[in-house]
Amino acid sequence: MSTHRSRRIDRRTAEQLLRDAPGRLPVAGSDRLSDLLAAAGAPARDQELAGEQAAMAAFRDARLATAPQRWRPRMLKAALANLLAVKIAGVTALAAGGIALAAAAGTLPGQQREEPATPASTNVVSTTSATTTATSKGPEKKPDNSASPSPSLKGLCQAYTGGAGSEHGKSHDNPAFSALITAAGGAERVPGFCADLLGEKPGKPDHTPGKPTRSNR
Amino acid sequence: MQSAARFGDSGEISGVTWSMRRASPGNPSGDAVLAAARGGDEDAFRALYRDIQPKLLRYLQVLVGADAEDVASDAWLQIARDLGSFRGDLDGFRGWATTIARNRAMDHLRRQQRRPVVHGTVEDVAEPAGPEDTAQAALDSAATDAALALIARLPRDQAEAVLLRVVVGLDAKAAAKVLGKRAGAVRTAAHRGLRTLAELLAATSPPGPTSSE
Repeated sequence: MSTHRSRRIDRRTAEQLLRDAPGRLPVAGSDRLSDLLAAAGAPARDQELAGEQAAMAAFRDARLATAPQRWRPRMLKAALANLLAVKIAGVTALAAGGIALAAAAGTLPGQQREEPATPASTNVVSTTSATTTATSKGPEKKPDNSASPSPSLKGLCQAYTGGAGSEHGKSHDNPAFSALITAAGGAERVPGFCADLLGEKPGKPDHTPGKPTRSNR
Repeated sequence: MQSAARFGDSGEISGVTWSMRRASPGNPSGDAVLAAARGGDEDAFRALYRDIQPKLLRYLQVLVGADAEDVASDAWLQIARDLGSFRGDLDGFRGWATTIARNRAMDHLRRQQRRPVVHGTVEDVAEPAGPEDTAQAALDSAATDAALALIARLPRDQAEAVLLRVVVGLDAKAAAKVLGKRAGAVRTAAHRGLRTLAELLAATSPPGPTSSE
């Protein structure tokens, strides 16, 4: 009874059953095997779609992740922000070094004092200025004069003579003045050199003394 | 073809407006739905989900048993993610999605270090249907579960061959692609599966419990 039923399923019958089963509803009174196949491939039941919301969420997420105009600006912004932060840090480090120099030089009294502070956020300034006060003293051992910009000698003279009264000795050591010393042809000749250059008597700087003293200290 | 007609007739894509993209044979509306889903249309993706998910779930049920839902949601994560890179028509998409589901199932089985779950006998799997179901729906639902349970008792290659063709609705060639086998081998496995099923059915003839093993 059980054996000759299965024997009746030849390849053609089997192929027919396989092909017809999807989407077919069981027909009462028909072959049990085809009923079974039809039941297996019956239309969807509600509980089989329970994961729909999760799948839709996955679809939305995937779309957000791949849509170029969605994520690119954000990434770009972040990248730019990083780059900017690095640059600012670098600039402030340089500028702070420059402050020491320019402040000592006093070339551009009003602007120079303000400029380096503006681009940086406060905490960046505080950290870098802390380090640069250290570094402005540091280069005594290895004066890389080549790296320092060549500021106007006149300005350097003003700064030199400005600081000359109080802490003259340190002015010699300050790498900011190396260009001046070189130009004058020696540290001893700087006062004379500057007197000639400025055409007036030393010790009368019209700029604030606060900055030079801080950088020199 | 059949499944495409079912897809179109189901009414699930009624909210989708671009059904008449082309009138050529094949699955015009189905392919349009696929194209729209690839373009980011949510309704289209929902229609694809409703079309394929029940089939995948039944297939996975036989492969991984009670974990079918979890494996299916893993598969849909990947389908959603990689849909943009899929190229092909709706039939191709069914095969592609089924391949993803199968791969996730195999991963799952490897993780679990165990063989595919074999359900109980055909008599004891009928789940009680919800109270709101009509009697007929309950019967149908039970019949579906019973059928899957019986198919799960086949050797796996036969079970997969039968499921891919009968439940997922792939032809022998597409099923072979999913399984990584030749079409002839898949056809033979499916035929053997049917014979075995017929024997199992005969052995579990309605009147009484019989030892089916």
